[in-house]
Amino acid sequence: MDDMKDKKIEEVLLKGTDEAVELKDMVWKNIENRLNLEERKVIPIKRRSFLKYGIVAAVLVIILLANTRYGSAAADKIRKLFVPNKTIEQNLEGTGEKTKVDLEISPMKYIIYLDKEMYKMDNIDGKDVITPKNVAQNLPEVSMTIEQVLD
Amino acid sequence: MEKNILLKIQQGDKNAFAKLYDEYSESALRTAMAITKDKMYAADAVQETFIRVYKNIGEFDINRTFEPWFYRILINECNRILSRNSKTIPMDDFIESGLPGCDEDRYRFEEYESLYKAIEKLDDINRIPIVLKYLKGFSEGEIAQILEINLNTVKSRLFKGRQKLRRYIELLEGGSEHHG
Repeated sequence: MDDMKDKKIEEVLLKGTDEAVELKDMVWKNIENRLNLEERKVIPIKRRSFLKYGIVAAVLVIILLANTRYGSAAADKIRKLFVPNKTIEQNLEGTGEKTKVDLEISPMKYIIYLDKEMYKMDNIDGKDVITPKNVAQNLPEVSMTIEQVLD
Repeated sequence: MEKNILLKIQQGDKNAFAKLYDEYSESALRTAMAITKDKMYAADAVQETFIRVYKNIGEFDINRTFEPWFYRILINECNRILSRNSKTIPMDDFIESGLPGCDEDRYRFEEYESLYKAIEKLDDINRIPIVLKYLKGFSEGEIAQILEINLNTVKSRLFKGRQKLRRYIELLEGGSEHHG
């Protein structure tokens, strides 16, 4: 008798929740979309960080650290060697990615190519601070500061 | 099999995650619906549960049983959704105060529908263990683990919930006989 009642409760619960099962595919699509969106949000930040440091590292080779007349003139000469903007291709995490970068002249008299779509550069208290425009959720803030240090 | 799938998910294998979804989603949707009493809330709860599982699978100890961990997340999500939508329905002791309406009304309902409604009207503390036991087949120990409560408390809540439902089934059966 008790078993029969238990069986009935089982049957009723299954029957009463049948309509939820119809939502299985819809829920999966939502899950996939959410996870893909979140990955898209996160990956560019990560990639751009590499890009940012890559660009800066390259530019640092020609960087003019001293804020001198020679430095200014040299920076201007060097700037003329460089196009105002260009598209570069970098192999990031095994994937080739094209990025449009613009030439920027810092008040500190050096030049740098910056991906303005993804980053902004502000001069704060005499230091250049590059920060991503889009900040991914659940990730710490990322920025890069460039400053001149006197010997 | 399950351990392999979980290991693969921990390594970021999305196909393994899809397999896990395939295996667990139906029961999860049913359980969530029985708890939230609404299929769209159930869909939300299951969606959030799987997303949380995917994000936190790295913290899961692969040597432990997955199901209680999964269902604890699911029930937390159901409660969160219920609390967000203030859809908690107070128990008015459905069985003890008698069936709704007069005797004639009572037998207008389909038996299954009535019994399902009776389950829905059970207090959460009785209903959730009932759902986990009868819909998912969890043991009392597993239910205690999922709900993070004492085993004796689970036994008592199951006993009271079952008692109310059985009395209701008896009433229904008696009614069927009268009308048969």
